[in-house]
Amino acid sequence: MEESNRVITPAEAIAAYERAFRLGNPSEVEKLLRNILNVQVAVVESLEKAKEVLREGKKLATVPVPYDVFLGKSQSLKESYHLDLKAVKEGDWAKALHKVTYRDEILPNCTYVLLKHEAGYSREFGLTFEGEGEITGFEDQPAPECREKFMEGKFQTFKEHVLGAWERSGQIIEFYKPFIKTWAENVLTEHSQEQREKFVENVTWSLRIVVLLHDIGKLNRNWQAVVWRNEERIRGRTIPLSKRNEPIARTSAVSDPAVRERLERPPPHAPFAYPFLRTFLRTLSGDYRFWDVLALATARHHSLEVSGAVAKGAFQLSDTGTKVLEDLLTEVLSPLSDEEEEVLKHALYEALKSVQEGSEMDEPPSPSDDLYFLYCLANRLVKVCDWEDAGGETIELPELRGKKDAVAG
Amino acid sequence: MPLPARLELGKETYLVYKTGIPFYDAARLIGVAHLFFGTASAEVEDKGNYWEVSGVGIKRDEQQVLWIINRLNPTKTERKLFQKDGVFLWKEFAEFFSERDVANRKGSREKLKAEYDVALQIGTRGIDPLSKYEVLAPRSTGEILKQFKAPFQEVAVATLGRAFAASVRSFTKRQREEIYILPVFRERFVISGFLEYERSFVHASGGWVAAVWAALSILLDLTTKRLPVIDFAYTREAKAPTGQPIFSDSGYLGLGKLCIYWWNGVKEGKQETLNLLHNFREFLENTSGQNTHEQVQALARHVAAFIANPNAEALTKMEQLKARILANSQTQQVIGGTVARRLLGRGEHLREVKAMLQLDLPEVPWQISEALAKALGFDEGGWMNQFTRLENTPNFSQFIQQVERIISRGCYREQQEKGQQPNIREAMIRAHDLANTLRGIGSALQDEKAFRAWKAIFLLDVLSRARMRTEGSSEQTGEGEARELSEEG
Repeated sequence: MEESNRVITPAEAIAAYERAFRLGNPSEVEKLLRNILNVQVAVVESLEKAKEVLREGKKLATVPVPYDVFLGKSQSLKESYHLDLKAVKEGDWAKALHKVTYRDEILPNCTYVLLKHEAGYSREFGLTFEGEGEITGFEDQPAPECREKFMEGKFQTFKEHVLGAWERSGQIIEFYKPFIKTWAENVLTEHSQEQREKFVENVTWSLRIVVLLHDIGKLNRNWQAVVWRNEERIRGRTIPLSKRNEPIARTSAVSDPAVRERLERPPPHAPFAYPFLRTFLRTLSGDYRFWDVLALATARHHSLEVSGAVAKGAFQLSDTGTKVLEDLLTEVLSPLSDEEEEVLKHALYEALKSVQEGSEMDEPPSPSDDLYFLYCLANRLVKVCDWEDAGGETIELPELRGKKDAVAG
Repeated sequence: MPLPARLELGKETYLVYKTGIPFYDAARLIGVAHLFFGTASAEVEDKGNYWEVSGVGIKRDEQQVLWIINRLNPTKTERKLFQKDGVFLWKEFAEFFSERDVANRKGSREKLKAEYDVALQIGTRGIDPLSKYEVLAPRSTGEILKQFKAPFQEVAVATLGRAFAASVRSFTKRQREEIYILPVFRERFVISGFLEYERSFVHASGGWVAAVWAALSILLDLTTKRLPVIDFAYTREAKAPTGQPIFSDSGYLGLGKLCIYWWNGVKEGKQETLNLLHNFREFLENTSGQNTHEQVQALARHVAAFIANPNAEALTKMEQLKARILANSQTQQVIGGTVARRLLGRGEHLREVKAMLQLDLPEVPWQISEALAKALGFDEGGWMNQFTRLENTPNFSQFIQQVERIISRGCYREQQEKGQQPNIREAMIRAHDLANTLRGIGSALQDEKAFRAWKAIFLLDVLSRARMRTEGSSEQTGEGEARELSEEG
């Protein structure tokens, strides 16, 4: 089996647990997981060349190597570099490739860059870690991912973008729902069938809501100011205030590299989703830990560095923010009774208060946690809907969704 | 899309009343969280005299609980705490820990051994020994009246919590010491999934060093779980080779400062902080073997002291020992010498050490430490003498004079090595210019404590740049050193 396709089968998992149980040694399971865990390795001609290509917005092509193999082989390498994806994203080229000095710095699921004169890479035999070889090459980043990451490529107002993402979440959630149902049946066995069904309804509803409100941080006054200024630079003219009364989500495409150089980097927006959604969902759907997990998964839709911590006062809602949010919720959730409208307004008010007050760090669930499934699901849904809307492409289950659309049509 | 009906999934809440015995309490809290919620989420809140542990009720896997207990090689009695006639005692546990009134908590009483916290042992070190004078005799008498007991549910969760403790062992000819350590968390946190970290530690430098290493290791292993650890509870027993108890104590390790420093690093995503802690952990891990050189063992003791309580004294000792280990490595093989060289071996580490000290110290001018390292490198045999003179300078002005002297000699030697006509005046001017840079920061180092701390950091920086030939190349860690040297080169 190719390493890139290596997955843990139920039989292997059961065997590992059985072995661990009989030996009374939980690290048996860890050993197996470590073998499955990979690091990504890119082989480049030189460090300078790698930096140059990254600057052009390309990705390093990588090959997966089992974590423990790389850990062992790294001892014999004179030079290896850790690719800091956050630094790449922020354009901090001085920190993008950091020399690995200690074994401790090699971690699973990270990307490492080796030099071709000692990696001994060939397409036929893979990495030999001995002597001269080929490079692994470079890839263009997928357009939807680029557009979403760099917040440019297609002008969109906040409302257009979140409604677009919302629309897509409705299609995708139908495919996810059976899995949520099965999960609830297996995990919430202590609760009645009725409660479980209610839970599935609540979670699917909440998953769509987190997609709708995932970019709440873009309604931050500071973020809006920076991105509108960028739009003016791209268009090469001042946009009157009257024409920018709607919050923006993404700037137009940049064709001139000189203009790109002059664009400001907007402040982070994704972390604000955590305190906002956590409070919004807890107020609406009950005081449960599930909602924290969905909120954190949403806040981490761009970067896993987001911890949930938000400083007090870091978020200042833009002037039209409250109205935009109220209209948005009424539009997608209507018809609502007067009582429901009140409930919704109250939740929105509490959530906005909470995001302004800030929040503390939260723990993302680990794979040994029951809620890990919900976390992964939410993170994926938000990311996919975000990219799909930014790129105008169907990424998740395109064939199945195509068929469904055809049937519906 | 209409609003869904408000979710009303039943939540379970359990209370863990505090006894004030730190390790026993920490074990019971973790035990309750794991027993009832395990792979789900347990939300824990400190309510003063008790902790409230709550979450959505789930069906727990009994085998998983028993599997955890197996780590302790449980006795028959310990196994029986959880099951009766093959039936897991869920009902009894749930009723007991959900009962708010302690007086109404019912359960047959079981023995509490010293392993649950040595404060629970019989004898003079037990809780309130004078309330019952007959318990003052050593516990080896086997007097059954002298046993502390608690409802079996409490003993069971303490057993389960104990299975998560890190064990620290140290041996000498005269005694065998065992310490068990558990993390203590902030007033509000969530435990989800397994609490996994390295759990076995033995260090050549003794129990205290191993305990600090264990605490550091637990913190680093919990980094991704982002659990707010504020200190560690421990229980320790020292026994004679015959098994006779000779000393015991329990309480908190008092690593609050370390926990705050680590937590701030985690919270702010400061990789430099974690790198420094990894550097310390790597050092302690690689010097744990019994064949580690005595000087390196002594260095490990000062490293542990510094980690526990960052201060100028411990840092100065670390610098002095590191320098001597490097000097010794030139003529003999020093086991652990290579790891000692890597300790605080990068500028980034030293900047973080400065942050750990919480003193407002000026930056180390790297041009000067580089020039000094180079100058010392010309005197392969006698560099330690010059280095010692630097260490012994009592104030900043004398320190500058000494630095200037060494650099000027180094410049002169450099001219000779390059085959140039030696020009003493030029060498002195260069040294004087560099020393002037130091004079510029003099005002910040008038305080004696600040000067000593800064001097230690400066000298450690010089050591990290020094290129002395060593004899330790055949050590296991030689490859790492070769890599470091090539990096420096």
